[in-house]
Amino acid sequence: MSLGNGGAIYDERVALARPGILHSLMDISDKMYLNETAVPVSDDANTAYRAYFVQVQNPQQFAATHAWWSVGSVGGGNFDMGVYALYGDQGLSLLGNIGSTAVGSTGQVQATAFSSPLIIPSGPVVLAIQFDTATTEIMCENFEPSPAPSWNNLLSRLWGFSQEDFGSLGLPVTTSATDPITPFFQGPPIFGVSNRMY
Amino acid sequence: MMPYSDLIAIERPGIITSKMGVTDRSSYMPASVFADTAWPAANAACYVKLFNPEEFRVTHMWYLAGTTASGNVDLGIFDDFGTKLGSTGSTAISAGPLAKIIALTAPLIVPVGEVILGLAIDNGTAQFQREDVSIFGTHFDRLWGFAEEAAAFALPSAATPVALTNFQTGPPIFGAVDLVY
Amino acid sequence: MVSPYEQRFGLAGRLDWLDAHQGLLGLGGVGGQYTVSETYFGASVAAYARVYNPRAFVCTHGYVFNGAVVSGNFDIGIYNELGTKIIAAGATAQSGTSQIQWVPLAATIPAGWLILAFVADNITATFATPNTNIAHYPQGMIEMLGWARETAAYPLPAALTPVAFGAITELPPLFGVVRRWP
Repeated sequence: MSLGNGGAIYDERVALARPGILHSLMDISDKMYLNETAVPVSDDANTAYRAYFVQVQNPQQFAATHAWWSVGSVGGGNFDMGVYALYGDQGLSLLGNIGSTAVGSTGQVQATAFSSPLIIPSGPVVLAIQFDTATTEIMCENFEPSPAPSWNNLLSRLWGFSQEDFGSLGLPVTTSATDPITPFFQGPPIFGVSNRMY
Repeated sequence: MMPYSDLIAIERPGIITSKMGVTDRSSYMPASVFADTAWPAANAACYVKLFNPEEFRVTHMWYLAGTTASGNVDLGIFDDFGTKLGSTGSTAISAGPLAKIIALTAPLIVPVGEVILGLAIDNGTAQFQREDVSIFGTHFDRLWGFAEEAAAFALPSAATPVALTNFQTGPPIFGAVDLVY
Repeated sequence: MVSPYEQRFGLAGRLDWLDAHQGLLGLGGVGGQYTVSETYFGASVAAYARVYNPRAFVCTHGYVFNGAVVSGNFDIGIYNELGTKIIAAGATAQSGTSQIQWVPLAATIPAGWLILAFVADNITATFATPNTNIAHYPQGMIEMLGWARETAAYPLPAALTPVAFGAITELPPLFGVVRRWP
């Protein structure tokens, strides 16, 4: 890789300043000013067994040890989280997931270890989260002024969010996430995967 | 080589600013407004060193001018060794507050790598706009890569930057750009 | 506020500067808020931050943002990806209220994944810290953003043994390392 002058000392891979983290909001600040002074809000999953997806760009391959999400004000039920590879018109292929897990304490980040560290390739990947109830709530980034639901759907699509309904809990091995067609979360839900230091 | 280990490209090509890269390294941005401030020392230059990721042509330099106009300004670009690559030359200051865009005496190609931007004003009355970082105390601007030089108007052919004693409550905001119109 | 002219990835704009809080704005704006003076969260409890260094460089200084009250001593250093110490300043008296304190720290810092480390030996010392808004930093978030801590870690140990933070009120100071210019 050359940066134009052929100088090897600048021949560095693209990488995040904070490595080993993929986060549902990670590409938003770049592409759209995010009012970080707004307080995140708790919003429900809307439909049982609906999975939510977000495409992010992973600049540097790393091993994820945990999947995590910011639990909202209402708990209960179970959830699954995973990471998909994106193969264009072939859709999404599951790289790994944590499997059905009981929702933890409200108002905290719930981090669940993968059965073994999951290698996340560089390039576009899709983070996914699914709940088996419609009432479990997840913390969502909030925007002031709050957009109307229709506007919110457009924003969500711009940010790479999509959804798909299933009949049971458990992220499928392959899928093609459909566009959101119903009112979505008030703002992008907060979840991701990380390589935890310990 | 990873397939996505591509050429780094800034999202807004053709511009470099005195604060670029700061939000990567300095997530704690001050919640403040720009403040009009008199140039702290007549004929002093303010420098900032930064990494330019993509070679591009520079036609103009710019800075955020304050309300009070007086005297002249000179803006320039230096290589990593402090050798001047080009400048606007002495230009009469007009009142702000707004961005002042001044043509270089001749367009130049800014190389990939570390470069130094310089801004000098020949009096202590003209105002520039700074981001007020005084809440962080002194030395903050030095963390951002700013330096200064006394008796540096017009900008010298070889910069001799020293540690800041001025600008410690907020540096000027300036940069270089390729204007196609 | 993220400038539209900023480059998200670490190589553009600023080289040879590693900050323990770097990159947080790129993770959806969870950075950006701060308090300028907060007591240190635990006597002799070290804070560790994983960061990415895009280019090897010769470090000249560590730094920390002091608050309104200075007290006791601190240590600041860098570990490699495996948790082995590259360099640390050793016991350093905190001095200079409400400003950045510079600490000489001379070493070649390799490119790649690194861990920045800071520890103060008392809880009277104050430093600038990120915000304490529970909604932005719920319990468990800070560890997912690349942080960990270790008790009884003053001065910084030869090898770190990281664990989770104890509470959302435990917030690490603003600190880092840099090749200072000029």
